[in-house]
Order: sequence, then structure tokens, then C-alpha cells
Amino acid sequence: MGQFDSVLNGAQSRRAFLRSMAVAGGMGVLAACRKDVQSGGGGGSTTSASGVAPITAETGELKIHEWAGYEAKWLWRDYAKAGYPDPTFSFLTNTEGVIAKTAGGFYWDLTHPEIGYIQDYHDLGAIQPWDTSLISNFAELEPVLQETGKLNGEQYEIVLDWGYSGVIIRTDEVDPSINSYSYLFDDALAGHISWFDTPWILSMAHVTLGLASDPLDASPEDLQTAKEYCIEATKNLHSIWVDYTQMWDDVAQGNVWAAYSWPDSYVVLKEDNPVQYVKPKEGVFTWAEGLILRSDTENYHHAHEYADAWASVEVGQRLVSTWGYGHANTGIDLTQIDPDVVEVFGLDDLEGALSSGIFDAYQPQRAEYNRAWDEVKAAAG
Amino acid sequence: MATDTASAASVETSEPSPRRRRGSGRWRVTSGLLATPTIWLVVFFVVPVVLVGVYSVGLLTLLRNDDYLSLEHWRFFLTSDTYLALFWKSVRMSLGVSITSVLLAYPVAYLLALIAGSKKYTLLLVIIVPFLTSYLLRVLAWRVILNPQGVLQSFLRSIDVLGPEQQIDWLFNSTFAIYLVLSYVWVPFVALPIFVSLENLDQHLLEASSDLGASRLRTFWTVTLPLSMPGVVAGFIFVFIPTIGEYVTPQLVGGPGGFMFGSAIQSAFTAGLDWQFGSAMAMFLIFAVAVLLIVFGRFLNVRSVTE
Amino acid sequence: MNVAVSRAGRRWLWLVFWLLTLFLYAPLVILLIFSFNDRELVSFPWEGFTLHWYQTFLDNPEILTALRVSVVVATLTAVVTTILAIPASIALVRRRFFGKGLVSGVMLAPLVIPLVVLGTALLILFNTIGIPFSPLTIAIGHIVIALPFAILTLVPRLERIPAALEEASRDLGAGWSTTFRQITFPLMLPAIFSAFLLSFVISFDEVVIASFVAGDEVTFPVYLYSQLRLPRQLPQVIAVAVVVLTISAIVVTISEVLRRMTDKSLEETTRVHDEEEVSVA
Repeated sequence: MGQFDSVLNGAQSRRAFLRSMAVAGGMGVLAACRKDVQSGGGGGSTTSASGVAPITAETGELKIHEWAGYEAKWLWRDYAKAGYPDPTFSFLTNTEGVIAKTAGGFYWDLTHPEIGYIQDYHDLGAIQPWDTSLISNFAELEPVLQETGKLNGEQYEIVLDWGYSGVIIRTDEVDPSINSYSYLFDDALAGHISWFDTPWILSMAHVTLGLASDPLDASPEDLQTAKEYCIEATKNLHSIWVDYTQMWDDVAQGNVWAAYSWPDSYVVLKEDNPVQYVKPKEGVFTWAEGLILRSDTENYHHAHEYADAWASVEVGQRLVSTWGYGHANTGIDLTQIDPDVVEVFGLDDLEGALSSGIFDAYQPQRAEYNRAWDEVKAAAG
Repeated sequence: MATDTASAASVETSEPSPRRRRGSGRWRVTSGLLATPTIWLVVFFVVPVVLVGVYSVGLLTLLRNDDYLSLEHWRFFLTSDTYLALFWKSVRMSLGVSITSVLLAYPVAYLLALIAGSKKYTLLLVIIVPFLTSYLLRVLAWRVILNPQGVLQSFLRSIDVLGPEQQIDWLFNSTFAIYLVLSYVWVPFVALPIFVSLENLDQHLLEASSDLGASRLRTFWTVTLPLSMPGVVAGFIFVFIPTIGEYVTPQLVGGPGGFMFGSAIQSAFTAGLDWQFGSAMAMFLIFAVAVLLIVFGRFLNVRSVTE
Repeated sequence: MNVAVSRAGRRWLWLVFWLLTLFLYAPLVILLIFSFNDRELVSFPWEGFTLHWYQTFLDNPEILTALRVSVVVATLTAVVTTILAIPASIALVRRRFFGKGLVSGVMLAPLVIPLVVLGTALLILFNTIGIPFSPLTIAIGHIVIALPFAILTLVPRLERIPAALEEASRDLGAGWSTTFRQITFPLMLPAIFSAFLLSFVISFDEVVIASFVAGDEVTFPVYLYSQLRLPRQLPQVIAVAVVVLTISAIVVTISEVLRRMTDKSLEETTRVHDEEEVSVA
């Protein structure tokens, strides 16, 4: 089975390679061949889009505004191997801060926001669509995920890493068969529930209650109902976690039985603890993020090459197995991945897993949600 | 370093000016002293604050959902029970933390300034050095100490003060934890000004008081404490005002009850991208603290500092 | 006889002092211990001794850069803040002028503002007047918030230096400059030292303003906050903190030794002044 998977995936990436060659066409083929020789195979193609200066005319000094830790060289190994100058990294603490800074004139060539913020950057006029034909690995990227990086039909974000916002439960205290976001509100777990500090909790209450409107853009009545439900449930809280270590500790030590969680905490905690990662039956909230391209970048081609390096199957392989994050590349060799991780992410049927979830999206009522969430937290005191 | 500061400052004061001359000469000295710091604060503080005020009523808009020229955000804030209650919660916390910090810092500053003798600066540094470690890391360390499976409670279990399944609930994710950690953070900041004011105390005055037959306690109440009040007030203000806007520590050790007024401002400016509302709350905080300062100032005779 | 405290009271005060020191150092000991724990989570159980976290951070150029930026920003902040605070506090204590209430209000007002607001406001401002984000813009913000702390540290000391001392100096023919150098400055020195240190520490640890107005080069606290997203790097950051603490303890010790050496001469002058002060009074 495992071997079959890897053969299948190998075929897939070969197909992807051929497709990208076809797309590149013309002189692009020559460039692609040259690069293939340099990097020793793989699916590379370099071309120059009309109207944009060729890569040789660029300085190559990419400025990348990243999450700390994401500057690690293995994440852009192919870019480094191609001999481009090392990018300059600066670090962000939250995406909203970057939006504010960008509105204030802060410059970057690439940054790494969640898909729900693409619209904000677009409204600032800060980003331009990618030319996916310049990204040789693009054809290997999961199309369902790439769809979430589109705006007005154009690919504004190359979606790269993703994960779920589900619930981690201790199976010695909680019945896994309930399989619902109701774990986060249940009176039966009073004193042992931990939320993350995010208005998404309101949306989780929304789907638990089965309300009619869009859980990320609720009608005023539904938002009110969800808010009241959350306020009522604050009495069952152990904590509202703000950093990951805190929550992991509490789960490991048995203080918390059910917590809002991303899948990677499961990867860490399952070694020593009776835990299970729940993707609730209501549909699991799914986040994704990736690279967006500055509208006035002077390193258009370098930026594409950089995104291409991130999109490679090797990066995906390592990201999934070491960080416990999802990666959009579909060519990942599942035999090399912990079977529990494969199961939690649903990697063996990625499209199925992704299409049953609820994707993060731009929230027109972000301020309303945030104020409602303030009220919930204030009530928790 | 010291010579740099000295020469730079003396540039400002180098004008020869007989002390009883009136009029423009005096004014030039005063404005020379004040010009640079005042301009600095006007440009980098007053102007930005005015921008915040302007933003709160929509005279200036930057984000997509901002309302042009609108008092709606002020109305929402002033009619909301939630946010005003949060404000008072923060004031209460701040008051408690300031008093705790002053009470902890005073005896230590007293010891260092009046008793420790030649070792005093060394010991002062002993107190300050921990603060060269990141605030966030120190707070995280407190979590490791206080949490139910942490250092302290594990120790108490190992010596059978606590049963194996027992936990001390008030120690962590509690108001107590907020007070403890915030006082921890602030004590050196309070100790410094108190130390400085005590150190400047003319020891002859204490001797005179004693010579006139006053007991040590009486000397302390009637001479030392009143003379160190400027330092105490400074220390109190150091803590009280920033703590009203504090949100990191309550969030990390306060448990579900750790949501403060500062947290609401923070989240409006970040997660909510709700800058107009955040600006309105921020301006309210600025006004409120100004009022509180005036009240405290009267009460604690802060006039010597501000006038 | 010591008039400040009785013998028993002295013992109590020392006890309080050492308890407080224990209180202040306990978290640091915890950090030290966990920087050697072979575990990605900063918590129990103990899983063996490792130097791994120290090795990895030395290979991490981003952390080292962030540390360097922090030191530069904090030094710049401390120097400029002290230079601005000295004349400001002299004016506030020694001079009478129209609008003093307003001026002192402005000087102390940065204490009042939530940092997230100042951060955002400065961001808008720097954009409007076209200052690019850099370590310099971080220092500008830090100077604003450190200034009231420095002034509040200097003012009490200055108030206790009798103005008569300076007047006497000028009556004897010394100019402003000489009076400042010979009388005021030496007497203010301990407070200046405190103000400098306080400003440095405030800047070195500040994250909110720094994250708003940093450009390509971030400070260590900003890097640290950003790290929370990938907590498995946290032990590495703690290792850095231990190293920073050790280095700063060494620096502080050296500067203390130096200060003692220079202090000898200063004590002489101060004693003379003290006597003058008494005779003036």
C-alpha cells in the first residue's frame, strides 16, 4: 500500500513536470533545460513573462517578512542552490500588524499571511497576482488549497502550509465518539476546557448550534446567539490559552481534557499521552497560508523562484514530518510520514479531507466578531 | 558615557547669566534647557496622540471599514457595560499592584540607601540585573513555578504538605498570580526612585531628630517618610499608570479572568482591525489617567514633581 | 548609634532583602535549568542534560542579529534619553516659567499611553513624514517612553540638592557651565546612572512599539514573540536569554568595579559640598 502510494506520487510529479514544460514552452524550455542541468533534475522551469524584466535584470535582493523560524534554509533550499543571493528576512508577530505597517509604507517583496487576509492586502493595493506558469512546482500543489488563494479568479497567494483548527481531547476523560465542537462548550467537561484566544470560537459555537447563516459571516441574530452560548460556556473553562506551550503542558498534565488545537500539538503530545485529534463532524475549520507578492516588487522572477523552492516536494515532506504542519504539495511520500499524522491530516485522501472542512476566509464583519469575542472574554472573568 | 552627557547638557546651560537678571536672559536659559526634550515629545508623542484622537472620530481613515467622520465608535464604547466594566477592573488591578510593589520595594530601598553603606550600589545592581532577561521569558518561568504540576506545588507534594492529587487553585490562573507576577516585574522600578530620594536624605536630619529625643519610629514617620515621598509617588506612578493598560501578564497567568481593558485595546488594534474603536478606547484611557493623576497628585502632594 | 534602624530592625530588613532577591532570581534559576533540559517543552519532566539548545542558537544568525540590534537600540535610547532628561529635569526643578504645568504634563504624559496605541500612532506618523522603518525608529519610540522614567528618577535627586549651593557657586563668579560641571552634575551622578540604566532596560525589553516600527532588522524581544508560533524553538531562545543575562551580569560587574575606582575622588568632592550645604543652611 505504502509503496503503491509512492509510485503513484512519483507518477504524479512526473506528470506535473511534463505539464510545466508544456506551459513554459518556447525559449522557456531552453531555460528549463539549463536549470535542470544545474540543479540535477527535478521539475524546474524559468521563463520571462512579457512586460516584466528578465531575472538577470533584477538585483535579487529579496526582502521577506516572515514568521520567526520560517527563515530556515531548508524551506528554500532549491532557491539557495540555484545560486541566488540569500534573502533578507524580517519577522512579524501578527498578520494584522503587518497590514498596519504595510498601510504605513513598510516594504517587503514577500510575506506570509493567512488566506483570510489576502483581501486586506489587495485593498491596500499592496499585492499582485502570481504568474503560476513561472512556478514549476505549482502543478503539484493541491488545487483545492490553491483555490483559497484566489481573488477575483487570480492567484494572489501561493498557498503552502495549512492545518486544522480542531479539538484535541484526552481519551481517558472524554468520549471520542461525540466527535463535535461541542467538546469546547460541554458542561460535562466543566473546568477542563481550554479555548484559544480567537473569535473563531464564536464560529465553532455557531456550527455546534447548527445555526443557519455562514459561520464566518453570521447574521446579527446568529452572532448574538453564538455569543450568548459562549458566554454561558465560560463557566466551564479551565483557561484561554495564548501560547502553545501553555496548552500542551495543560493537556499533558491532565488539567485540560479538551482544547482548541492545531494538529501539530497532537504530533507532539501523542508520544506520552492518551490524546486524540478530533476533526468535528460539523466540518473542521481549516486554515491555510502562503506567500503573497508585492505589487511593485523589483524582484518579480526571484520571488517566483523563491515560492517555487517552498513549493517543492522535499520541503513538503520535511514540513509535514518535522513540524506537523500540512503542506500543499501532493507528491509527499506518505510512507515516510508517521501513520498517525497521515490519518489526522487525512493525507491519503487530501481532497476529500479538505472539501469536508470549513476554510478560513475574509471576514467582512471582523470588527463585530472581535467585539463579541471581547464580551465573551470579559464575561469569563 | 558620563562625560558625553555632561558636555551635551552643559552646552544647554553654558550661557553666563547672573542669577538675578530678569526678562529675556532667564527665558533663554529656560527655553534652552527645555527646547530639545519638548520638541522631541511634541513631534514623537503629542502629534501621534492627536492623530489617535483624530482617528477615533474618523477625521483620518486608513482601513477599508473605517467610517468617515463618525462618533459611532465613541457612542458604542460609552454605552457598553462590557468595556467600562473592564476599565474599572483594570484600575482595581493596577491600584492593588502599585500598592503591593511600593510596600515590597520600600524596605529594600530603605535598607540600601540608609543602612547598606558602601555596598549599596552593588546590591542595587543585584536587584536590577534580573531585569535584563526578557519580560516574557520571566513570566513564562513563573508559569513553570506556579502551575499545578510546577516546581512549587511538586515540591510541596514531595514534602507531604500537599496530597498527591491536591492542587492549590489560587496559585495559578488566578488574580493572585497576576498580582504576584506584576509586582515581581515592577519592584525594581519602584525601588529605584525611592532609593534615590532616600539616598539624598540628609542623614544629619535623622541625627538631629534623634538628638531631640524622637524614637526611631517617630523619626521615620515624621522625617524619613515625608522626605522620601517624592520617590514613593514617582514609584507609585511608575507602576500605576502602565499597569492600567497591561495585558500580557494577566493573559499568561491570570487564567480565564485575565482579560483586561488593555487587552481590549490591543485586540481592537490587531485582531479586530478595528482602529477607530481602539482609538476611542485609547483616548478614553488617556483622559481617565490624566484625571486620576490630578486626583492622586492632590492627594499625595505630587506637585513638587509636576510644578 | 545608627538612627535609621535598630539592630533587630536591621536584621529584619536584611531578611526582607534576601527574600526579595530570592523572589527576583527564582524565575531565572528556572530558566537556567530548563535551558539544559533535553525537551522541546519548557516544563517538567526533566529528560536529561543537553547543550543542544546552546549549540543551535550559535548557528542561528537571525538570533544573533536580533541581539545586536537590541543592544544598539537600547544603548542609543539610554544615551539620548539621559541627555534629554537632564536639562528637562533641571528646568522643571530650578526654573519658574509660564506654562510649567503644561510642559511637565507633556514630559510625563508618555507614561499614560498604552504602548499598542503609541506604536500604531508612530507608524502613521513615520509614514506621513517619510521616515523609513529601522532600528532608529524603534529607538525614537523607546526614547519617548523612557523619558518620563528618566525625569522622574532625576527630579527627586535634584530637589534635594540645595539651589543655594549653585547660587553660591555663581555668586563666587562661576558660570553656568562651571557650576553644572563642578556642583550639579557630580551630585546628580547616582541618579543619572539610574536613569541611564532604567532607560536601557526599558528599551532592551520592549516589544510592542518595536514590533510596529521595526524595519528589516528586528530586536530580540520581537524575534522572541514571533517565536511563540513555533514553540519548539523556545528552549533555544531561553538559552539565548541565559547567555544575555550572563554577559550583562559580567558587564554590570565590570562597570561597578570601574565606578568604585572613580568614586573615590568623587566622594571627596561630595563631602566638601555636604559640609558647604550644612553651612549654607
